Amino acid sequence: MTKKIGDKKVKTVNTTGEASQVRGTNQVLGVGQVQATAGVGAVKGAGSINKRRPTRVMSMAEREHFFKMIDEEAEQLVASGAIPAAKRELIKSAVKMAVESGLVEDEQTADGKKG
Amino acid sequence: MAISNDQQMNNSETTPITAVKFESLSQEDANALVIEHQSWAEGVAKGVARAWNLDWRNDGLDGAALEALLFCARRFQPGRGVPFRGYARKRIHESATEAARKCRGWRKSTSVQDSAAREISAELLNVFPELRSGELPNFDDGDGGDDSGRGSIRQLLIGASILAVKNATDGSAEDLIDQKRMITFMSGLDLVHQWLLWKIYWEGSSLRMLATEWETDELNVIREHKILLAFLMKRFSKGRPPPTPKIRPGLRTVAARIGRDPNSMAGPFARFASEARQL
Repeated sequence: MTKKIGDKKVKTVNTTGEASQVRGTNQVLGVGQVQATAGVGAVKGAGSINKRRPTRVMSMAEREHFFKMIDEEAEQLVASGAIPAAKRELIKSAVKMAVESGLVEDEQTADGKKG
Repeated sequence: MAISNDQQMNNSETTPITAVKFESLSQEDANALVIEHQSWAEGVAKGVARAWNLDWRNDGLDGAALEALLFCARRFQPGRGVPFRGYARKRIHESATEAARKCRGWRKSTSVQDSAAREISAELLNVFPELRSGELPNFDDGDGGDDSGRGSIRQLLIGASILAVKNATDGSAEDLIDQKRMITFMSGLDLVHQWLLWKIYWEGSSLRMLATEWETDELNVIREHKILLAFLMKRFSKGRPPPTPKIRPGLRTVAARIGRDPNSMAGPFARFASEARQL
């Protein structure tokens, strides 16, 4: 059986007493020998820290795919309230413009090799 | 066996430490590099023009890209082992975007919203410079990464939303409410986080510049920025507010320095809010 905590509200808070004095520290009489530490049993993996992730390079062929993702993610963020609904179209087009500006048509042009 | 000071000095004299010097290309080789990569550089300029609906030739983006290509070819040092395109792409893109922002076509936007979107996207390129190289910003969602790039896109959207609220100048009641909500919330953040957001989004400083100003590693600033964006995304969403992010150890000295500086102590957003109230 569990006892429910009632709706008792705290009405007053008593002031705490001030510290009147601080006791002086005692002299150190001696230092004991340092004892050997026990071996560390195991170290837990540090999650995703060690993983090296390659940078996601965008290609012109993926343009539509990225734009679709921008639309979908923006809708989700608007629905959750993370971005203002009135600015939905403005934010979407700004991100699309920024992504688009970095895409180079036919990256392997001219000399047929990537730098 | 003990080694005398003289012996130590002799040893150090036999193995002198020399700084590695990298040589730039000869003028002929640099010119050859320009010819080889000219059409690619034009491709970068075309990308910028396509994004903002400009004419890459008439609006002068081709000239700006070629100028940057020449500059990079002359300074390129093959001995460093960095591929030329990897070295030059960001600079060519920057040059093309600068030319775009100055051209007549930039001011001749089709609509107010289009014009505002252009401004935000140009500022977004400074916040996420990886986009200039055609890369999505790296994003770690804590579950081993997000290969599809959705996490990165969410970060771009949140960054754009901060810029959109900051740039809102049409004076509508809705914009003012959004702005006030954001400023009030940000003024409650830790000082170092406030300054990070202020410098990047309000003053237009790059993450690298900020790291130099704070005398810290660039990665500290980049990672803290990503954590802040993830936090803001959750904070502005409906539901239970997330815990305020802690300052990473690499930025604690900066935080302490800011806390002691009488000019920085008030916090930029709190100061901005109080100045706005006085107007």
